[in-house]
Amino acid sequence: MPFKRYVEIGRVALVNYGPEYGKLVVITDIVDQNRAVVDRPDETRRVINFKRLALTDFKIDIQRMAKKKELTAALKTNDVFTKFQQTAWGKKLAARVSKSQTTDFERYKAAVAKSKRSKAVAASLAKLQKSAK
Amino acid sequence: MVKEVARGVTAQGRSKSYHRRGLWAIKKKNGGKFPTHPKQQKAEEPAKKAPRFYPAEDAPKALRRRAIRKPTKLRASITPGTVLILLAGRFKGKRVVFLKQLEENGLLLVTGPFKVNGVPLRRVNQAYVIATSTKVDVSNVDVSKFDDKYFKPTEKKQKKKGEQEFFEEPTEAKELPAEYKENQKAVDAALTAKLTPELTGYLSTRFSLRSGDRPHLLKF
Repeated sequence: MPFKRYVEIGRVALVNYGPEYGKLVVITDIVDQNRAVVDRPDETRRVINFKRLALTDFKIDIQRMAKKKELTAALKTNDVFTKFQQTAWGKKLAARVSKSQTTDFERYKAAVAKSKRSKAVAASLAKLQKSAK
Repeated sequence: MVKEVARGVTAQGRSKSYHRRGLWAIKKKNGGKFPTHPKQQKAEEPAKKAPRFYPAEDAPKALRRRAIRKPTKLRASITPGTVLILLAGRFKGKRVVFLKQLEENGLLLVTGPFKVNGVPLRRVNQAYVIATSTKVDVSNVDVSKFDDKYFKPTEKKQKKKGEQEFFEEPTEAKELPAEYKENQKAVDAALTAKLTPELTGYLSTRFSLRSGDRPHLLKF
């Protein structure tokens, strides 16, 4: 199986370490086999190690070392950041954040709802098993 | 103020300062002298007789107490109606409603309500409590009669048991005075009227950590 995501100019990646944790960046240049230059509309361009990046499926069409203006424009036309949020990966990240934000009362409500659901499932399962006999 | 040239030395001397502050004008207005307040006349004390005896030894003089008791600061997250989680004592893990802070020692007045989860009107230290973001409406609860005196024990200390009494069957348990029960009932009635069934269920369950819960990262 060939690889589907390559380290290349314009590849959108997720930072998975450090203060930028969880932010999407775009690779604008490759320094060497370990490091890339990444950029993002609201931050300054900088070098980052590949170990701290997770590549996504998305790639935008930009020049090597593209200017901020070009990068922003390319991101805007493709709407890549919102597209990422709609992928399974993006949804998983959003769900993780929303779960960590739940309050005590909300956790209680969720627990009650869960037990209600499992009771309903168990009841209907018992019904089916009875009729199958 | 005039600029300070060095520590304790100002740019202008005494004479210049005198003119700058315009003290001469005040003096001129008052006939060449600074105005003074007339001395307050003290009420004349009755003549004291010299004591006939002096103590043989110097009586110890009490030290002046300089410490001022500052009122306990209530955590910002705790306001009347906040649901708290108790962390210590026989009610640990119970979710209770905060009513008010007692003035004398800064303890928190809480109640279960008693009807919902068995926690009576009680005082707790705010250090042994987690404040949640959930609030209950306590506007119609009258808490004016509850202060620290209300919770002071009224019973006298029991005498030491002798041998005979030791082996006797313990007498029946003491009943709580009716007044306390009625107060609890009144508070419970006012509180439970405002509770939704969901909130009632929430208050009646105990809080506990599940596996994977990291209390420092949890939001309450």
